Amino acid sequence: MAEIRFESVGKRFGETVAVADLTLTVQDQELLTLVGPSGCGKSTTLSMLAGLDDPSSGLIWIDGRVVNDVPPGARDIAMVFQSYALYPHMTVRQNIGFGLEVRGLARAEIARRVADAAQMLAIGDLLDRRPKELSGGQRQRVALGRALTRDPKAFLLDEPLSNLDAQLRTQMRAELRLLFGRVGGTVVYVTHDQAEAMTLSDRLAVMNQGRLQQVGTPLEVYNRPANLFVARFLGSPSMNFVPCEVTSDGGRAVLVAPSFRYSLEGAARALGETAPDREVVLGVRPEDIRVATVDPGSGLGGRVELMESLGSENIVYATIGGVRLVATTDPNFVVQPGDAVWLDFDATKLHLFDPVTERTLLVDPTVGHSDR
Amino acid sequence: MTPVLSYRRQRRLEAVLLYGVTALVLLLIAFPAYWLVTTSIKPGIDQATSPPVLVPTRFSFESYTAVFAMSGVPRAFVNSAVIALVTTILTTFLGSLAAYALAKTYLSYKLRHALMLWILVTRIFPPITTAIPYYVVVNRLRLGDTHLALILTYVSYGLPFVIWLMLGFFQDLPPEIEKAAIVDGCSLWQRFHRIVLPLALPGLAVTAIFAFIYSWNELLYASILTSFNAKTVPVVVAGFISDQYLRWGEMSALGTLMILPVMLFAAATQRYLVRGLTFGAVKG
Repeated sequence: MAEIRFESVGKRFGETVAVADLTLTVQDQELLTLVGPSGCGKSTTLSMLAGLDDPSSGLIWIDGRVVNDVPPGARDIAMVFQSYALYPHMTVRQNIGFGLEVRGLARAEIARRVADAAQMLAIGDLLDRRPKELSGGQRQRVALGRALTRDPKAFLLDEPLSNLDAQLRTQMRAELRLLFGRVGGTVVYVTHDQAEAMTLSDRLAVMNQGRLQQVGTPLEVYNRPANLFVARFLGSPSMNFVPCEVTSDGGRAVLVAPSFRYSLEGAARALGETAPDREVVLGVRPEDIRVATVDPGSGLGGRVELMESLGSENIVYATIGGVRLVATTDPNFVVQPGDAVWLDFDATKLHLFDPVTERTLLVDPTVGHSDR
Repeated sequence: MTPVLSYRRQRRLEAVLLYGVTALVLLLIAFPAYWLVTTSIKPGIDQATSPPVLVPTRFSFESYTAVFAMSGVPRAFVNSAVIALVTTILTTFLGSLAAYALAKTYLSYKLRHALMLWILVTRIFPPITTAIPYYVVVNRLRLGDTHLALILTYVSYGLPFVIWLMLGFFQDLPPEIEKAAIVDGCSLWQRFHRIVLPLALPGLAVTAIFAFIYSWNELLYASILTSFNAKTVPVVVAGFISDQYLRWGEMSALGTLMILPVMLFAAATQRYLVRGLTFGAVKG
């Protein structure tokens, strides 16, 4: 297994910039997820790492060696494709062993490795079937088996679960985590699914419009998003954003929104005191908003627009003045459209962003309270 | 009348129309074959009568006896078989290589289309326009009345068709399959013969059948470029027509015999004409 390094890597297709100045290191034995919306450059990055696309600029290192001019077959990487890409005219056994056969391994060794992979993936009884005789989940396992038998320096997985139904996806997600934990390889995983990225990764790298936005552990990135894009992309329902102004009111830093005022504390307060009268974007996650039907004394009064019940939680859409906020609540908390509610933020988990640069203004947001 | 009845009547009418048109097309296709076979087994007196004998009541194999008594017929069959088989193998193989190169190399859209049109140029001219130059070239190369002369001619004529047809098959193959093979370490040749060709078998079968039929039935070049040694069956059949006689019986008997190898070849190749060979390769 090996460390992978992208050094100022760029990729252009004509005038279109697919990846711009990417510098990123994937540690040995690490599972790093490239996550972002469609067209953000994550698959192109993986394709360049596999050698299926040439970078327009920069260097790609695998295990201490620049591989820009090394053909894909000689990079010693294994790849699982979004569409499985199984060889339809071969049996499962031949599919899994094909890469080894091409590399000239002895038949006995191929048979041993195929058997090992089949046992690990519980597909031993499918070895003599062809891909068309398999279900989506089984095909996915075969594609994984093809990668595992190779014992490569790195595994590259390009949205491997996106063609599975929701239930199977959740099941395979957990299995993948366990599998790579057991195999212990360097894994670069590409997905647009934030839940997959959050649950699978040791670290995740968020990309948008070809640029790397933030790298960190899932919780670091979720709790301390570097900019508005990362804050909006991770989390479902998405983070609430309210354009506000930070002002000083009798020595206190206060956040002024069109329909409410909110006293800042801690780092946010320090920000307000050092740079008062500046415009900011307040970000607050739905789970960081407490909703009550009785005024707790510190809440912001609003009205319920809609409530969605997911069984495990409820999603409440409420408006305070003209501002809509989305909050998640306990499934037992039931309100009707038009009901009066009081919203209170978890002041330790507020985010402030610069409306122009869209970057976060807080390194460590702490305490604050509402001020009607 | 209720709308349901009206709908049923409409469905019935559609079915009648469908079967009627199918029967008509079948008749148009099958009648010449029926006429050929029945003429070959009619006695000479029934072969060209007016009105024609549509359903023969008397049978005779005198035409077949006459054909088998001719000395050049077995040799013509051997010549036709050798030429058609070698042509089929060469056109299918070379055409597939060319089509794969066109499908997979990163040529610009304009250049690819220019090349495709250029390849098609040989098929744009009516064969008769190039027959004399071909005759001159073949004789200069001392290839007159040889198998090689016809094989080279047929391959050059067959290639554009194979290239155009196979290009579509290669372009339709899911690109991820080849990418997977690249990552698995396959060379270009390994990808072509281990992955791409097996998946393009239906295309290969179609092109092989057409290449075989074309070279088996071709008359113009065969009659110009051969005289005795490499004479093929169509030239022998054409020999039954002269300004002094028209031997319907022998012509029909040899024509019937000529159809058999084509049918055998098509039947042997037909099992590869299956749809959905790449099913299961990609997606769920």
